[in-house]
Amino acid sequence: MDLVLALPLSQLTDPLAQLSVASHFRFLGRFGVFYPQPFVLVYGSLPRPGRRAGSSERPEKKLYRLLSFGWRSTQTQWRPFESSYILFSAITVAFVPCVASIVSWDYALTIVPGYHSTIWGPYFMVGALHSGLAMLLTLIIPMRRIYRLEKIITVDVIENIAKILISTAFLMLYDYLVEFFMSWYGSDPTEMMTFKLRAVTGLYPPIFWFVVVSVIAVPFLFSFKSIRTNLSFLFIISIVMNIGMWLERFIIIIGPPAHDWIPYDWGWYWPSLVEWGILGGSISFFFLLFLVYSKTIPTISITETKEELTPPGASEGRAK
Amino acid sequence: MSSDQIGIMGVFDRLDNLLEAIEGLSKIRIPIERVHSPAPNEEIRKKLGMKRSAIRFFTLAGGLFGLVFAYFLCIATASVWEPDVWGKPFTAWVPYSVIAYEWTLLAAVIASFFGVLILARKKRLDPPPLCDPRFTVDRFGIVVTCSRGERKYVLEIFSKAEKIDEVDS
Repeated sequence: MDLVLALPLSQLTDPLAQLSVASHFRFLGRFGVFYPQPFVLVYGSLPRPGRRAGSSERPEKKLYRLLSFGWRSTQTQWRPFESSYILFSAITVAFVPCVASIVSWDYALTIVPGYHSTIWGPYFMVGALHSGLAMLLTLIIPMRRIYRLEKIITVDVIENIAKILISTAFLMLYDYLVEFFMSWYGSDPTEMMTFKLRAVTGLYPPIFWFVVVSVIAVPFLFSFKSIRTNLSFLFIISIVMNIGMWLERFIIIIGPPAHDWIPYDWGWYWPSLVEWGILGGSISFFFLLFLVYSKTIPTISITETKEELTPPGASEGRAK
Repeated sequence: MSSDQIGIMGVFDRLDNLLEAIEGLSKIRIPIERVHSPAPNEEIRKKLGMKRSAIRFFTLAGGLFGLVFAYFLCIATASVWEPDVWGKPFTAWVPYSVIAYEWTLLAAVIASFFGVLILARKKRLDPPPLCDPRFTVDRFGIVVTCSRGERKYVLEIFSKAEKIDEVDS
């Protein structure tokens, strides 16, 4: 408590400063570093570098052997791999709510108007799903052409992703409506002002309405079969959706602290050139890692693809 | 392996031939060292009489450990720091359950991962003496250890093999 009193008043209303003084929040947030996703990713890739390992003494072959922990595709290796793959998939699904919502809870636990809401957990989770699917389209549409994966990533697969995007757009719409409804229903003037500054007056409403159109309205174009099976349209729409989702996070994170409890602190935030540079750098770094991964490790799980095929020398329809 | 023992590897391009060879070897009771396949296959496992993987026990043990450890960690941390709880119960079970949930899954994943390494006997990174890189691509293979006297029977069983390799012990 002494520490709290020692801090300047403006810092108390800053959500990040609140996180730093509230040990329980900090405790919760730190567990983020322990997520098992990297393990699952590495583990799922085990047989893939194993396929490239061979017995050569060339450095890259040694590296592949190391990455695959000496995978030799024996039955004693396949059996625990298969069982654990199912277990890992189940555990990863169970982890999705934690991964997608933990940061949102960090924000929601603060008292900043616009942040302090229980909708934030599901809101972030649905947002992650929505933007994740859009990013998936952005990546696989050019990738299937460059790597000639048209027979594996068929138009049907892409069409199904587009159909899921319609349902996630409905969920996003619900989240948006609930946020505004609860603000109005709660009759808290500070909360209402936050949403007014988001959607009606000030610097951010044009961004907000662009977000509404790009994130919620545009995916409904996928209701038309001619659009959701046209890869050029899908690619362009997915990029628009990605930009919209980024801007959505921008206004919901930046908006509330711009006009919080202390009028002295009020202002309009817009990123500087340096900050845009950092954003551009982080996006470029992501694509660099993505390209390195696609160049060195098969992007399609060859094991799963082979499991779908009838093995050589086995008659059609037999157990695979 | 004694000096009388030899290792023989048969490389097969067809699943039927591999299954026949497994059956033939089990009839004359020659122990099979390894069976390679480019993808997991139920028929091979049935022929070999393999049971369900014990990996689930690693997952369960890891999950239970994570659950208990998380509650212990939370309670121990609270005991050390003694937060002012203003008359509320000292151990806040509900928020601790969030940590416990995460630790349960985390420990289950880590235990499963190491379980696979243990069960799959991944002791060495370099390939063993009898191994063909095509096993991870499109070929099946059997490696057996037998005496020199049994060699001719094994070669007979491997008659449909695309390639046969042998090594002395």
